[in-house]
Amino acid sequence: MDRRIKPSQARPRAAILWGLAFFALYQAGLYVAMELRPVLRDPEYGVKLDRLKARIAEKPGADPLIVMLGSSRVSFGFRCGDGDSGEADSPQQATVPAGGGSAARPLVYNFGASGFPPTGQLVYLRRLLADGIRPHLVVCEYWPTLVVADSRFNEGIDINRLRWLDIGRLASGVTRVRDFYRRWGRAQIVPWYYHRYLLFNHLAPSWLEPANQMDHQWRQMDDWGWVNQPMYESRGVDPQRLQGEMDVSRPVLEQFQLPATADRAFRDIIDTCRGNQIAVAIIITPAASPIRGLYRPEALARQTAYLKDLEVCCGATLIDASDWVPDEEFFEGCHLTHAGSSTFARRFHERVVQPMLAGERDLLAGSKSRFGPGPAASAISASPRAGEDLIRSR
Amino acid sequence: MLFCSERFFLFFLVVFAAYWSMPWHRLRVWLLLLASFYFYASWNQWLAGLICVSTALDYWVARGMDSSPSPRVRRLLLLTSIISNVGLLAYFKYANFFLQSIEQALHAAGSTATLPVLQVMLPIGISFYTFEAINYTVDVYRRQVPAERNLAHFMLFITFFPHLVAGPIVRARDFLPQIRRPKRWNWAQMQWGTGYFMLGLFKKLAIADRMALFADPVFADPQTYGTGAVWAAVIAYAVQIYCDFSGYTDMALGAAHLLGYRLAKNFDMPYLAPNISMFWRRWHISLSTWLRDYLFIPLGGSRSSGDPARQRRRTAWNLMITMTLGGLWHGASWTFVIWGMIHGVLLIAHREFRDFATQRPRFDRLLTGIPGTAVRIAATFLAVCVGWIFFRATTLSAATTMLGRMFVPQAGLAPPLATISLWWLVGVVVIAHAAGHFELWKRAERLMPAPVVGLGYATAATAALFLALDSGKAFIYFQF
Repeated sequence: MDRRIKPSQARPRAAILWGLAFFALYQAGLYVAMELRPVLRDPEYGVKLDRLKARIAEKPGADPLIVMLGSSRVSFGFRCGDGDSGEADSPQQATVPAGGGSAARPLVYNFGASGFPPTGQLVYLRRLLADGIRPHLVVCEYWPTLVVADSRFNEGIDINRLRWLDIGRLASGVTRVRDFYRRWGRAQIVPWYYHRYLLFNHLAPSWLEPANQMDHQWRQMDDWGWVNQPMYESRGVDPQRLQGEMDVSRPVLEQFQLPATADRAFRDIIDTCRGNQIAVAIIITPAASPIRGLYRPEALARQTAYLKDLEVCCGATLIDASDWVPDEEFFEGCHLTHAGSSTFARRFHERVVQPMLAGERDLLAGSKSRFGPGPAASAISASPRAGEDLIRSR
Repeated sequence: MLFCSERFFLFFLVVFAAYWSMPWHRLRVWLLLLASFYFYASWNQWLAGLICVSTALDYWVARGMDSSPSPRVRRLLLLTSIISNVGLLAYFKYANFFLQSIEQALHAAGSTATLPVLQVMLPIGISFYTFEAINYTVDVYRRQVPAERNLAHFMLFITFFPHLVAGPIVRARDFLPQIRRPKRWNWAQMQWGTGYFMLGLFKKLAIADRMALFADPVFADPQTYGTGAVWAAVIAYAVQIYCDFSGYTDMALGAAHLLGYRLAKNFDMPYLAPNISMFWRRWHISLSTWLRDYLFIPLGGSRSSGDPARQRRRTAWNLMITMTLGGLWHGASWTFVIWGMIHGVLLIAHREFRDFATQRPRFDRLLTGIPGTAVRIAATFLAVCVGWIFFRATTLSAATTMLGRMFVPQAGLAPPLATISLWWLVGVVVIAHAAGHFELWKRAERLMPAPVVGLGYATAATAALFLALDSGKAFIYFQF
């Protein structure tokens, strides 16, 4: 039988097959572009990375480079750049006499990302290292409500923001691994569909309904990674919002239980830093006094025992900044106002950067808590492994 | 299971692969029948039973009519079919509307009586498949088509999943012969099917659903929006309903083509119609021809009866009845009735105006010139948009508020979203219509090499996916 295709059939067949091939090419092209250009895959990370590289290029001899990782409380609440603040004692403007007598020019960069608990911070740290950024000090945010959310990180995050390399690294630190792989894999097959909101936010945010607009996370970012959230321009705590935040924090602070994923992420962060000879610190970020007052003594003891364990056994430095910012500079007791963001950065400069540059750098790599204890860390247990038993297993 | 959902895509892929890998025609018919019931049951399995029973009844009634020589018996059987179909429609779709209307009338008359609200679920697509069943039994009664002897064929005619839930309303004389004919794989037909499906997908995901972002919030709360936002919402809705419904139809045509079937064309660039009569020849063609053949003409149509004035009155009356019932067919609400009546009035006015213009050759020439045609197209579009306000509004007072804010400038909220995307997408629709009007698509498709045509398909599919909203909205006509 002659199986050759008729001429009248050849053209339609070719059109369909070309259509399928081009469709596959479109998808593959975007996938490759996203892998190569971080700003397409994860604009928040990509823009921060580009700006950090620009800052490093501006200050070629910057010493040291300090990167703070964390959530929105860092991203919106740690204004470490001079930007438009006009602060004379801003960390970026200061030239601090270093231990050896020469002047050191620190570069402190805010690498916080909205909704990023410890597992997210680990993802960003590994990406930074892969992208050629080698900080002298990595500071990780610690806040109980954030840490507790870690177990849901892989379920809540926009999975499109994760690269292939992130997936491999995350596999051991997520819950519902199969579902995680399935969701991520499906999103990579048709990236023009699953990745459209991030692309739209990058290319044409005005086409999106307000609920899906998130471009402010990088469009309103200053040169040092701080994101100007207009909502936080307010002065003083809004009592209603404070009450709401207390309602959310109360069960966490009364019965603190650390998810296994968060513990693993903290330890991986510390191990990764130590493996790359990078000093690492865990910072308990500022909270208003009504929120700090919610701790039950036994919960506080469990938390401090855990942090002590990270400090003593893993070699991280604990920085307790929970009371660094006055209550009136909080928005709802947990996120800082613009004034609070500057205060936090200033205190960080005074209590961390300056001592570090004044010759106490060894403390950052050592096992002692130099910058605490503040109220949230005051009950650190003497037992180095006491924190282990409070780590909730999956 | 929406045509633009991942679930439908997988379902169709399985059906398509199984269908074309089967060498036996009879088995293919059964496969399509099973797939169609599965498709319908994915919404509600009990209502799939209902469609099964009503289809079986129509099958036996038609068989009875075909075999009976007695006109009385035939008429009785026809009445049985019509009453059962219209009765189902009335019960499921209109019972609560009628009860509510009676209650309101009683309240207006001073009574305090309350009537019960029936807990009925509207079977999806009931308006479409009952009309298909009626056209079949009427055609059999008129001896225009023979009664189908194969129950599976008849059931597939009614339930064929591409047209089951929102049309186009297929005619037995067009579709039943196709079921009987064995199908052979044909790449040209596959290309048509793919092209139609991509076009429909693009219209639905990239345009219609995005237009809803401008229309929905304003129609939900018209008194808070300013005149600009109301105009934007009305234009957005006009584009939305066209792209939503014609997009669905294109996908239905595409899916049918991919399975070797052809469905009737349902749209022909209706917003380029220079008058309302032409609009109805280009909009939802399968419904307007159904209303013409099975309602308007049986009512007397526009047949001459001697006295021209009386004939005009009679035609006008028939048009009003047809369009009012056509409006009611769309939904159990007074807003749909008013919408139908508006179109009835517009059709009558157009007939009068046409007669007026034809008696004045210079004026007629002016109207049929390029500027005159442009003005007529714009006026027709505006009239249709006014009608859409009643079609879309949830209450009559909301519709009148929209109209008031449209024509009397008022301050209020701006459109819910920056209008740049609205104008871009409206621009795409306008350009596509212009290209369609000058048949550029057809010429281009003939001249372009296969890789370029393929690139066009891939681009349309990718653009549709890229512009799609988070949660796919159901097709507007699914509610009818």
